[in-house]
Amino acid sequence: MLRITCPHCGPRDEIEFRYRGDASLSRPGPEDDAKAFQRYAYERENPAGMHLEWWLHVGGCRRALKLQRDTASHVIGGAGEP
Amino acid sequence: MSKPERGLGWGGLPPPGHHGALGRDPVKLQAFMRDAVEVRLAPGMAEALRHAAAGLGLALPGMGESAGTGSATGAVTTLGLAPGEWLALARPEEPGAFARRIASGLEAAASVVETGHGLACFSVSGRAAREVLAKGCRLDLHPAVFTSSTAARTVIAQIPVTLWRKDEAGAADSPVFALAVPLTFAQSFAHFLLGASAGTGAEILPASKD
Ligand SMILES: [Zn+2]
Repeated sequence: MLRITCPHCGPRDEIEFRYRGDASLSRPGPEDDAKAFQRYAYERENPAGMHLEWWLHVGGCRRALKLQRDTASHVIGGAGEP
Repeated sequence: MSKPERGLGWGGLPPPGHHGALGRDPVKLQAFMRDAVEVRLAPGMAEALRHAAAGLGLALPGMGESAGTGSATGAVTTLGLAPGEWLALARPEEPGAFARRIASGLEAAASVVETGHGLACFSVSGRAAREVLAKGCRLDLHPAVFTSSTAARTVIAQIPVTLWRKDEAGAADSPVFALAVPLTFAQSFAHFLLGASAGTGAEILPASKD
């Protein structure tokens, strides 16, 4: 069980949150080709270490947060608003 | 289709009476009614909203706080549930009247949505109240942390819950916890309350408008 400190609500248990994926990606523009969209939609780094992620505090303030989490140790580096 | 359980009304609690163990300190469970409106700050209108709310006599407490106001709007409790987002609660009156009053007072400074018809409210009080709620609530409800001016949204028994304190005036040492859940979860949430209070015993009070 992770304990995530929401910048609005304070420390809350993981069950109040939904994981929403990699927050380091940015959507390709209209000028980009299909390969760029393929990469954006499907290809992930899956690092063993610090990862920037979207978490939605659906059971609390209902805001989307950006969270730094170590995928190997589960240490949370910090959370903030996007 | 299976028949609904006997005695479970809109609030989901059984008829008034005793439930569970015959302890000396049964927890008090009660369904109650509230008119509710969700107030959301319109982008860039923070100053206008502050003025409009002051004119209306509506308190807009900070995130995670609850505030009560008197006279101008009747007894209204406002909960700060997210940045720029509040839930205002009032005793039931003519349908729609509370929301209309808030909406006309705040004008374009906020979006005002009536949500009272979709909420079921329960109160849990008595000496064992914290012990009973702790069976499903992950927040610290100790009076030093969850005071009479605290509000929170959380998840209890997989049900989204808005939580605040509805203490009698001058009785801050005997907290009355108020919990609002979506109406469609009222029965499930009542089952959680009954299960959680089976060990201490519960006194079920008649549903109330207060
Ligand atoms: Zn939050």
